[in-house]
Amino acid sequence: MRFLLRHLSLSYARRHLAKTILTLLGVVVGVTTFSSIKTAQDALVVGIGSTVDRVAGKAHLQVTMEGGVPEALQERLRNLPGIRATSPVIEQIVVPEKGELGSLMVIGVDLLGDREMRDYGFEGDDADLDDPLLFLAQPDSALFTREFAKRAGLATGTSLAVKVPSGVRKVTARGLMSPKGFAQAFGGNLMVVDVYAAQELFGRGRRFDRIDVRLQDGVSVAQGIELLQKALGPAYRVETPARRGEQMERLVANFTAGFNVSSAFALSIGIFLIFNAFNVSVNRRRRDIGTLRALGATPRQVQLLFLAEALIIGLLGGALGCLAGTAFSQALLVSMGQSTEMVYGISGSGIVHLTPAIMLQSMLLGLVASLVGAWGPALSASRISPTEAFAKGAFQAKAQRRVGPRIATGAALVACAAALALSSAVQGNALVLCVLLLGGIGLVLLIGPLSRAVLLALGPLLTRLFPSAGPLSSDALLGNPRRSSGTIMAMALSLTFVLGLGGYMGSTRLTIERWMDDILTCDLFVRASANFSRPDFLYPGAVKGEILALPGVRTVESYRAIRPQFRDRQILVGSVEMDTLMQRVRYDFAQGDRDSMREGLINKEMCAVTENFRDRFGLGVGDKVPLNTPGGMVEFPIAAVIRDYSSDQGAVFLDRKVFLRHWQDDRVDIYDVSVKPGTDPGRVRDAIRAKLSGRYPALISTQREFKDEIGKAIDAFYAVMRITVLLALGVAFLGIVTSLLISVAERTREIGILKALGALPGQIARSVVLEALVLALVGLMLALPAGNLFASFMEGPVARAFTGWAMPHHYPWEVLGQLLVALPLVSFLAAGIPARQAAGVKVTEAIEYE
Amino acid sequence: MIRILLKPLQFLLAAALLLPVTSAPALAAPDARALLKESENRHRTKTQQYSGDLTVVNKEGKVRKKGWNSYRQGYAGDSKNLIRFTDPPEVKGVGFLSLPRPGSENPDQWLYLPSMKRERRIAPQDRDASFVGTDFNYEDMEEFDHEKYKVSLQGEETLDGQPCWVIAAIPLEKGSRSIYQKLTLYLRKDILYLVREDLVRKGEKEPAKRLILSDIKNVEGHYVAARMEMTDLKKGSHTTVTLKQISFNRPQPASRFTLQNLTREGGD
Amino acid sequence: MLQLKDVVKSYDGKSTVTALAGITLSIAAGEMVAIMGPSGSGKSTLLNLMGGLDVPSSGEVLVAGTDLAKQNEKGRSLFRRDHVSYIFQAYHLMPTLRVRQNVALPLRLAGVPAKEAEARVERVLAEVGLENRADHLPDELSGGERQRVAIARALVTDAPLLLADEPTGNLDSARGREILALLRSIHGRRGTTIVMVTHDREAASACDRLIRLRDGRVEDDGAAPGGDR
Repeated sequence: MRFLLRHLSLSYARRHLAKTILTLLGVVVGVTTFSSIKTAQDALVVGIGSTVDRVAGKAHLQVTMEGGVPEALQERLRNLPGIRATSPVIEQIVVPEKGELGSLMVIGVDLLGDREMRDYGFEGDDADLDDPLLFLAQPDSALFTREFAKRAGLATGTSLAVKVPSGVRKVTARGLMSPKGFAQAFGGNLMVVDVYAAQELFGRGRRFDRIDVRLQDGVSVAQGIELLQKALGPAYRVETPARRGEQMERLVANFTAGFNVSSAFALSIGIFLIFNAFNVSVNRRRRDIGTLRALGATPRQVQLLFLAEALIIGLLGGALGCLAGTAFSQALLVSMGQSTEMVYGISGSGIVHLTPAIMLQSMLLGLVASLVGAWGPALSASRISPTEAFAKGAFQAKAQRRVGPRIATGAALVACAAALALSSAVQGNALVLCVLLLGGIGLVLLIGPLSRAVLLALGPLLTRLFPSAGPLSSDALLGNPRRSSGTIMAMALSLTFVLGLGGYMGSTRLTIERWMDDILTCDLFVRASANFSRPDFLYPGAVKGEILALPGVRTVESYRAIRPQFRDRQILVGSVEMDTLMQRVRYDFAQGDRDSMREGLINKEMCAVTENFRDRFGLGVGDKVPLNTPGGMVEFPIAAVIRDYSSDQGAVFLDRKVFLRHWQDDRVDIYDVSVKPGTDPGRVRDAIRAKLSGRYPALISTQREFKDEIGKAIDAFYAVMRITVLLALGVAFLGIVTSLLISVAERTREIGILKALGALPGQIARSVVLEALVLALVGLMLALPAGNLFASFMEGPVARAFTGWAMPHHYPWEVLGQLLVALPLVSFLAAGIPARQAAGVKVTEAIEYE
Repeated sequence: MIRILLKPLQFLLAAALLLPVTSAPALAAPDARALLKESENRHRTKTQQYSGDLTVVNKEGKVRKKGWNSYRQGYAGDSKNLIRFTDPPEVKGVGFLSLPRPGSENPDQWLYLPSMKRERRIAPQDRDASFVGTDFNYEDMEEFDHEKYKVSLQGEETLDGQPCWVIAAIPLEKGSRSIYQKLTLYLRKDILYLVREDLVRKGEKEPAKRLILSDIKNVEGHYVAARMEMTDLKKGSHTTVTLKQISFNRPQPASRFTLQNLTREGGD
Repeated sequence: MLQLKDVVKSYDGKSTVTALAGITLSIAAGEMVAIMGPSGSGKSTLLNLMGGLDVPSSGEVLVAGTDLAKQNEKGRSLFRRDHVSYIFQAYHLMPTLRVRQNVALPLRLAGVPAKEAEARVERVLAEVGLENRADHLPDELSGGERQRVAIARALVTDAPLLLADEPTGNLDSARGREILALLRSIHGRRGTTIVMVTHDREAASACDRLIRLRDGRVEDDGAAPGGDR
């Protein structure tokens, strides 16, 4: 075996270096996609966790409360036994005016005593808080990490402009932290300010985001939790930083789980590419194999030889893919991080590390993928009889198999997948996996024969349309049906993916837009935070009166949303003045009706829940929702179930009076302002702006603008998915390139003859481009029905499982339109190198090629 | 039993010994508590005020200067203290208030920051934190009260040509807490005035900091060190306060040592 | 028709290999010439130079008045398209194209309209006697038939120069004879200049003239012996 490998395979690889590299490329592409996605995903999740951990410092426990922890709590905590130190914290993400520096995590701490909690690395030669008194006395004081300061060109005493809720503020560096422990959190993009300055800066009032607690030696964490919980009551959450990190990680991990699908997908495409490459390699070396067999090699030896080659290529490809993946993952991570920040208000640090685990997985994957891909070709190579191998020219057209059973099996599998999706036998991730697996295999079985049929039918048409290049392309495509159908398969699967996800995103967007038209009916929205899920600033409740007093204002509603944990999920509890709200919005009821909701919410302290809340938690009209309030647990009976898209985790709505009574917190996220008929909202907007200016941050949007902004948030939610779609296209692109390069390489002799027959380089090149185009378009044709099925699956069972919302189907015309423009371009680009190569084939060499 | 009997005896002995202290320092070693008590009695004043120049020199020799006005009412364990920064302009108005608490608890301390328009209480956990970036911590800002320590005479030593009593003081921690394991006090024999303090942190053996009081003057009949220097022996930095315009026993308005006054714009 | 002056062709590798070491010869229009010689004597190289598939290291290759040595790749392609056609030992047909399409290929490449091409294909197929095989795939034909398809493909462009590389090499002697007769009759009817590289004495004797090569030089040039013309 070693002998064969060394002499036969190695010399082949050396002689056909380009082709060997192509085979390798198949593995590399697959593994790169997998490892980049996985690395970015892990980095994001771990980054979030480790940021929580690092920022926590020596804190054993963190006390939080929905809406913020009142200042007075700190004194209460200090007086409890077993507590060594407490420290208030406010956390906020801001963006420097120079956006390229990346988001900054602002941590407001009480620097007077925070050293019990966190190590700032001031001690020693290389670190210094320049003047602590100055730091405290000046509200613009901030600390930065050395690393960030270097990037931003900051020195002690110089200032940096950052965007905070009330506008752009200059903060002055009063000290630099050494990169260890705490200062490594959030990738070093850290800004430490005084916690009281942070209250002011971020509208926290007299509240902190949390209080970090360090226990006395000898007090266990469990004891600490018990002690604090008993002393503080259920409205406060007492958690270890690790658990808090875990919860955030879980939220984000759920969100990025969509990437697993893309990873799997990329890998299967990688397998195709490998399969293709090995197939071609077997065909090309048919004579060598025949000679081997004639010389007495057993079929098993031949098979093993090919598998050994696959093994080496797999290992090599795995390693290379791993490296390339790490390079790509950084960009991926940035995009994922932006999405999670927009959607959940959680940001991780932006540093990617290639972990040994991912490395191992990637290598293994490359290996398995190449072995799987090479298995079939290796088997067929082993079955080559010596005489058959020496027969010239005959083998290429002879690769047909019985297609009947194959089509039947494929159709049956697809039907199975559809049935499974419609029934509720399997749920959640398992459902997605099963359906995709069954459907995928079914499609693979179907696409081969179908693509061949389509190509055969297309042949004459091509010849008619392109008299000179047409027959050449058609010959190339049909000449090696396995290669062509393999490429078309990869293409069709990619496009199925693109159309499916595109359709799903489109439907979601449309549904939410319709919902917004029903709900967002007031004229102006006044809010302090650009981020919808993380209030950067809250208005005092009294601002309502000020706005209402302005001329032209008809009604003002105060919307406040908190995001408490409910049965391990972060739901949304929204409150607003229901009496005026219900006069202007149109709810779509799943249970109950307008009157029951009105009566229940306004007069009976009941709540309304969203449909996805009901489906998730099994609580509908007649049930009660138990919610933790500062005064203890309160049960709110459900008056109505509405279709609403405020939260993908489920939402509960209360009348504002009820909320105020139980939560004792009158701050407001958004003021919904309706103007009197005939009044220009623009003028009212100016009046509100003038009224609030200098006191509060005010982002005032008209109805249209507000809807656009929510649209942007939805887009952010799907940004990850959109990357996946791009990835799919990228993989398809690479698939075409590889296939064409192999096609050209394989047909060198034919191209030589064509040239001898008078074909011009341009003609040959054009035929290669045409070949690419046909591959892409046939792929698209086959992907149309499959994509539609996939979209329906995403919109129905998958969407329901992950968001609780079922989306009505909406055909992705716009995606199709984009594809019809993009595909020819992509295939044109993909054909570039192969076409040039084909055009440059030397006739004499080509003819002597065999 | 013995202790009860001994106590009055001690007093007698101390009284007998203390009379000739100034004239006959070479007599047998007196009791540390008695020395400290006598010192307190001798130097006690009702009020004190001065304006101080604060100089912090860090290890690298970088110098930061500040100016403050200091007001004190009462003495040792029952003293009230207000410091108001006057210089440089960036920190002008920053205030520090220390008020005794009943019993033997640590005093309450607040720092006021005009830019935030609010005071913040110094938590017991923060007693080791540096007082506004100096080598003093918040505990050092409390007036020394020997009653909160178990004291014992360690011997005698001559500092700068002045013979001194060396007294070890170990915090009793009855209700109060200290960050120190032990203080070593150097009391000048002739005037019973504290001229040096070595501070050993809990869990440590060697002193972490050293306070030296020098430039001792007699102002309005009271001895006072016009220069205090705290050296952080580990960090290699030191902080000097020089006292100017010192006056004693001036009546202080009662409202001066209140939170209300601390948070008043420009309140002294 | 064809003039070679001091043509040298050498390949640079680890050591320089001289395939043709200074060949001067001329072939008149309408001649039918056989080139023979042992393996490695430079036969195929000579043929490739004549067809503009390759360029000489030095010397001139004048075909129909054009010096191919001075043309670039595209120029030679265009020249080939108009003046030269090929027949190969291994036929080199496109396996997935029907006979008709295979024959039409050069016309299609030259941009001849479909209708006209079709007519010309019919004509040459009749000429080689394959009119009833027009819709078969190459796989479905015998070796002789395949070579006839190749000849038809060579004829369809009406190129004045036909280069054949061992046209009978893969055929048994009977089929070989048929092919030679076909070439002979084409030569007679069309006046096409034919240059044929062969190992086969019988094939050589079908020609007017025989050029023998040895070690890259012309060893002998004269009338073919025992021709059955």
